[in-house]
Parts: sequence; structure tokens; C-alpha cells
Amino acid sequence: MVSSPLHRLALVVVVLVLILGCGQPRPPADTTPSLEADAAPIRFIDATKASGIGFVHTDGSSGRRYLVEPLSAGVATFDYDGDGRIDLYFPNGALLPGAEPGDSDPPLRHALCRNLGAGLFRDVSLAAGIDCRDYGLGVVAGDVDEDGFPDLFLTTFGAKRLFRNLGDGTFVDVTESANVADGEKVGAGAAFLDADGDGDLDLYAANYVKFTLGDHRPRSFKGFPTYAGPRDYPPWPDTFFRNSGDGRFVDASVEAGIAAVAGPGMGVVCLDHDDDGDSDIYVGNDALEGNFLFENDGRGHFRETALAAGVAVNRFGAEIGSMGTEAGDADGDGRIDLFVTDFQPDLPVLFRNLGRGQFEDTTAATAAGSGAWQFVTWGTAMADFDNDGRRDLFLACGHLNDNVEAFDDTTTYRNHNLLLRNVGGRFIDLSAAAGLHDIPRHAARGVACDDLDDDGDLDLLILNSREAPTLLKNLDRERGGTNHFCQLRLRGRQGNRDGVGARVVLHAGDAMFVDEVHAGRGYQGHFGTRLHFGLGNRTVIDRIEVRWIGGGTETFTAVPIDRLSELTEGSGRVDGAGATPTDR
Amino acid sequence: MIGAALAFAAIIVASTRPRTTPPTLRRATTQPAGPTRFPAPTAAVPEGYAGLAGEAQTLAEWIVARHPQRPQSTALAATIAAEGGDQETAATLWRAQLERHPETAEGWYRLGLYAVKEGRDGEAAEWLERARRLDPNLPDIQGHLGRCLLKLDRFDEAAIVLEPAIGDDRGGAVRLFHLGHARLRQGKNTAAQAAFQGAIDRAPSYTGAWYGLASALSRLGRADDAERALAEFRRLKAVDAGAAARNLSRDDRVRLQRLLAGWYAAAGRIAALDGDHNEAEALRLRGAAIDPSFPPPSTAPPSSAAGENH
Repeated sequence: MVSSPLHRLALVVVVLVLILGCGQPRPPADTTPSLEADAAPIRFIDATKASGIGFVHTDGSSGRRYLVEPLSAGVATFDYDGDGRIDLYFPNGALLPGAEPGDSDPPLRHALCRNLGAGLFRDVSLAAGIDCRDYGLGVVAGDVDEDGFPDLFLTTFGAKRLFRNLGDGTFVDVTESANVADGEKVGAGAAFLDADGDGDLDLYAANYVKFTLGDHRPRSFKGFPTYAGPRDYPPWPDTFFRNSGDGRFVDASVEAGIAAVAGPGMGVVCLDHDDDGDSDIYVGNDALEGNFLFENDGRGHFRETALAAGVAVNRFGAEIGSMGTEAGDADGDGRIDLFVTDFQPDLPVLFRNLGRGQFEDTTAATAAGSGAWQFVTWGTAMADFDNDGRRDLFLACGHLNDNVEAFDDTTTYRNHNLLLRNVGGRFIDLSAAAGLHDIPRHAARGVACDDLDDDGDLDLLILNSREAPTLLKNLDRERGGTNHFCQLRLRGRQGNRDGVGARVVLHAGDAMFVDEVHAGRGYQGHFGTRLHFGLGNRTVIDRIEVRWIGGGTETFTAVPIDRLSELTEGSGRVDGAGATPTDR
Repeated sequence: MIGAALAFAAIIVASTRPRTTPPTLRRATTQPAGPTRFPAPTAAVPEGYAGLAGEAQTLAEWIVARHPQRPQSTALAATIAAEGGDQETAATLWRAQLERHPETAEGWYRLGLYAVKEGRDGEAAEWLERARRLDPNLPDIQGHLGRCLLKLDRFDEAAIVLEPAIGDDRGGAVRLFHLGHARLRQGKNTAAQAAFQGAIDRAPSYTGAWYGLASALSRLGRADDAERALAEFRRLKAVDAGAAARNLSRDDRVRLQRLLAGWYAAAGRIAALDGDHNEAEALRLRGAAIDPSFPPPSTAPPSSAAGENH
């Protein structure tokens, strides 16, 4: 019902006067151990203000509530200029019909922010030749022309865009010549992968639904205006572009088997789910059709197998309101698991990789959804924030509807984000102790996770819908964290330049750590090209095995701890990439 | 009535959150002026959803002021509040009720369900267990408790709660479904298969049960049977999606109309319990005006026990 605060109060008051006396029913005692902030094993601070990041996101809204507005965007962290520091890219929205720009407002555009070191960033978009004013939704970085510098692919509400990195700090828009515009669609997540093992990066771009401004459908819920959803429009099939190796891509969606199915796609992540040496594609679909798992035959032809593999729906057979998709070894068994964020009040889902291409939903058994029940969860990162050797989970939270409090008092539009610490394979909600409750709340969307200040721990960048982003600095090293780590940058020679899709197995004593190089992950974003392994108290890396896409498996030894190293395909050589991250 | 209540509200500290703990009730020091007459049943029925919702809100306030001693009044007001997305008020109402009548199983049950909706599963399990102790034979309470325990990964306890609670009512398929999942977690795959099959026997289009059956069969090494179950799951999902696409209205005025008519009928039964038959008739007529298709009210008072669809 329409429950204004006054109405609520009136109803409660009437009953209160009837109640005089004895103590009210009490909830069961909360037996969850509390952690004092000082003792918390993971702690973040909000470093946004001091960072110099001036970007503010807009969804271009005018109050008409177009479908694309709440999608907002993902975010990317990648080293565009090869200086060893990880830079930032923020897609932005654009004005939609009905919205009027303010006289003094600067033009709405995307932002490329260069990492200057010491936690400082500068918006270099225009100097870098990126004056993008499209309605941005997704972003992924990958070196499509093998020149050593990552290029940028953007999905938008409209045509897709490809910016070629010229290697001199500037980009040029090559959308037309590269043949990747893909018509006018509601884009979503994207990922680069070497699907056919030919050494160059192909491209998977998810699409959402067949929405146009002319087909806007006003919706309401319990009398309150809301947004239309994926059920209101038919889905677009996703698009698969095969890299021709000459600067052009060919739309191979039909030939590759991608166009055989369609769903309202959002997050995309590639992984070798069945350990057969090629990259498969996992696509989160928003509440319909189930998620897709495209199994690669090694030659770039795919078969959709999510249902049989156990990753289409949750364990109860219900579709997931999938936003962000993430891949990583959550349980330390050497297999890459999958994690998918979800719509409130459903929990995000952790799919454990059982081997032989089979998964099971272990959300309840691992408590991987702890604390997420009330939230719409979007971007996510499975990363080791305290370098203890176990991958934790970060989830960005924020509701679609800015008026949700009016018709649902179990949630809010702006929420704190969630940090779930991995303790022996079970996840503990550490959000409050980690400082996330002390940080201003927003309606968060995309998340990127990288060591942005090169101090040996993983920081977080969050794109907030309609507001400035949040940069969370990890205080592990500053607080005297003694766990060790290893950061790796892969250099392909026969294979793609950044080793995208390569599987890395790090052996240290009795422990084995596994990861893959992803280009595109989370909620329509990109991060983690530089691999980061927490080692706990292990001080020696025995060896690292790298299985290159399209190549063989190679072993590297004498890899140092607590620094960034570069592993070059075919050389067996470990190159120090400068001094320790802390020293740079 | 609302004005009197609002004036009175000034001396009350409102029920503020944090969400993780229930609001604290403050004792009132004066009595509000209660209503004496319900609005004439001939008043026009509101056209929009918001108007219906407003009338429901008024009915909720009115019934607890008019019939304060009837626990059914609180139950009805809490139901209306929860339907409107105001769990906080609903929970406060039930807590107030439980202060006076801690033996009310439905009250603990409702608090449990609200806690479930807010993700406080540990708390929910305790509330639901308390409800179960008070009313050990109500399958719906057991079903929700079992489901809650399953979410907490307390699957052994879930199986113990669910197994004797299957029952013959239409909720039995859901309880079998959850029992199947408890069995899967226990590694009792044959028992899981039987539970999912039982759910399907009762509800052949239960998509989740087909998925569970496929999982159990797969674990039993019956790959072909599992594939057949998955195929049926896939087929039913397509049917579900088609139905969902045809029913996109999320402002279900017709549903609210029907609910409101039912709430008026319940209010009328409360009035009848207090011997006010004129008032009961007025309420009945109002309900009929809002939804003429609503069945005539029975003379029985509203149930204080949990129902399947609450």
C-alpha cells in the first residue's frame, strides 16, 4: 500500500497505545563475532577525493525512466601507456530525451584517467584523442593489433566503438574500418579472447534487449513509477567478431554458433571451464533464458552448454538476475569457479567447478551470498585482498529504482558495498570491519580491481550511477600486512600479446594457485590483466607453469615474491618489471 | 481518525531502524480517539492503484483502533502493511501482539517470514522454530523453517523438519522440493530423486523440481534420464517465460482489488465477533463494492493460523 512515513507512524501509534507493559519479543541473540576495525584482516579507505578523479557519471535521465538508465556502466583498469601504472576508464551516459543540460555543465563524455603514481590520476581523455560522448555501457581493453598497447572497445546504447591505441598516449577511433559498430543496440559486457588459437584477439560482445527510445514503455509498481525490465522487450543475440588479422573484424556470430541463442546479456567472462586448453565464454543473462556457457571446440566454434554444465540457473532451477560475472579459483582446488551477482532479494551465486566441465551451486555451502540478500548486486571481483592465498569477494550494491524505499522497506537505492572474506572456503561478511560502512553510500554498478598504487595489495574502483566514482585504497601494506604476493604480467609471442586466456599455475611449497588472464569481466568492465597472487607466509615460489592459448605449456622458475615479474612466452625467462611495486 | 493518530504521534518516538534489530516500542501516554463509524459503503471505489492502497491503509488503521482487543485486528493490519512493502510496521504490529499473546504461532511465523525477506536467516530460523513449537502440525511453518535451514546450509536439520511435514496440501510439492535439496546436500541422491519425483507427481509443471530431479539423476550416474529431465525443465521454462511475457503488469490493480475485498471481509468478521452486525454488514458491502466477484464472507472469524499463501 502507499505507506508514507506518516501513515506508517499512525498505524504503529494506534497499536502502541494498546500495549502497556511487559517486554517485547526480542530477536535471538546475534552470535556473529564482531570484529573491531583495527583487528580487521582487510581494511579500505575512500581515496577518491585525494585522487584527482573528477569524473561524475550521468545516466542522462529526465524522469521518463528509459530502460537503459539504471544499467549505467562498467569500468576498466588497464595500463594504456605502458608505464607500468594502471590507468582508469569510465564510460559515461549521455542526455536522453527530456533531459536538459545545465548552462554551466561541461559536455558529458567518457573519461580516461592516467595514473600519475602516488594515488593521483589526471583526466587525459581529450589529449589522448578520446572524446567519446556515446551512451556508454561497457568497456574492455585488449591489444587487437598486437602492437604492445591495449586498445579499447566500448559498448553503448547505439553503435559499438573501437579505439586503437597508437602507442604514443593517443587513440584513434577505428570503429568503421574495423567493422565493429554492430548497428544500434543496447550493448552490454564484452570480452576479448583468442577463440581459434590463431594468435590474435577475437571479440565477444553481449547485447541486452531490443529497446529503442521510440519503444519506451512506462512501468509502475504498486503505484510508483519504475523502469521497464528485460521481460518487456525481446533479447538481442550477442555478437561474435572474428579478428581477421588485418585490422578488421568479421561478424562471425552465426558461423561460430553464438547467434543460435539469445538472452538479455550483461556481464561476460571467458575461462577454460573444462580445462581443454581453449577459452570458453560465460555470459550472464538478466533473469531470462538462463546464463550461457559457450563451449569452444578449440577452433572458435561454440556450443551453448550452460544447462548441462550446471551454470545456467541456480540450484533451485531459478534464473539468475545476472549482472556481473567473475571467474576465479574460489576454493583453491585448482579449477576456475564462476560467480554471478543477482537481483534483490535473490542471492548471488557461486558455481564450484567440479571438473569435467561440470559445476554445482555452492552458495549456501560457502555462504558466498552473505549479506547480499537485500541488495541488487552488480560489479564483482574475486580477488585476494589480504594476500592470504584465498580469493575474497567484493560486490557492488545499489538498487535500480531511486524510489524503491517508497514501496519496499527491505532495501534502499544507495547501499554500502559488500566484502566477503574467504576463510577456509567459507565467506564471512567483513564489510563493516573493512570500512565499507564508513564510506558514503551510492548506487554502485561497475567494479574494477587492481593494484592501483603499486604497493602490493589490490585496490578497488567503483562506478556509481549518477555520481562520482569511489576509489578504495587497500590498507593491507600500510597496516603492516606481512603476507607475501606475486604479480605477473604475461607477454605472448606466438599467442596474443598480453597472454589473454593463458592459464597460470603457481606452485609454492604445498600450495598451488591458479588463475587465467581475462580481458573483460565483472559487470560490463575490465580489470586484472596483471595477475596478482596472494601467497600467505610462503616465501619461495617453486615454479610457475603457463599454458598459452594456441601454444604449449611453459615452466618458469626463480620467480621472485613481492614484486611484479614479466613472463615472456617461449623464453623461459623471468624479467623483473622494475623494483618491488612498493619502490616504484 | 488519522488526524487523531497523527496528533498523538508527536509524543511517540517512531519506529526507526537499524534493520538488523527490531524497532523498539515506546510506551504511549495517552489514548487516541478511536473511530466509531466506518465510511459509508456507497462511497466511490478508487480507480487507481494508489487510491486502493490508500483505502487499505485506512482500513488497517481503522480496524486496530476500532477493535483493539481482537488479535485478528493486528493480524489484518500487519498483513495489509506487509503487502504494501512496509515490513517494519507489520513486524512492529506482530511484536505488539506477541507481547500480549506470546502463544500466537502466527506472530512468530510472520516475524520469521519478515526476517527471511530481509536476509536475516539465522534470526528467521529461530522465530520459525518458535512458531513450530507452538503449532507443530502446521506444514506451512515447517516448510518455511526447512527452507530457511536449507539456506543456512543446515541441511540435516532441514531434512528432519521437512520429512514429516510433507502433508497432503498443495504446499506439499514445495516441501518435497526443499527436502530433495536437503537430501542432495546430504549426499543421499536416491532419496533426493524420490523427493523431487514426489514433487513432480503433485505438480507436474514444477520447473524447479525437474531441475532438482536432473541433478539427482546426474549424480546417480543416470545421464540419459538426467538429460530427459533437463529437457522437460527447458520446455517448462519456455512456457513460463511465455506466460510472464503475457503478464507484464506489475501494478496489479485487479489483485489489490481482490485482496482489499478480502480484507474488508475479514474486518467484517472481526466486527461480528464483537457483536456489531451493522458495522459488519457495512464492511461486507464495501468489500463487495470493491470487488463484486469476491465470494460472500463466511461467518467464521479470520484464521489466526498461517496459511499457504500468506
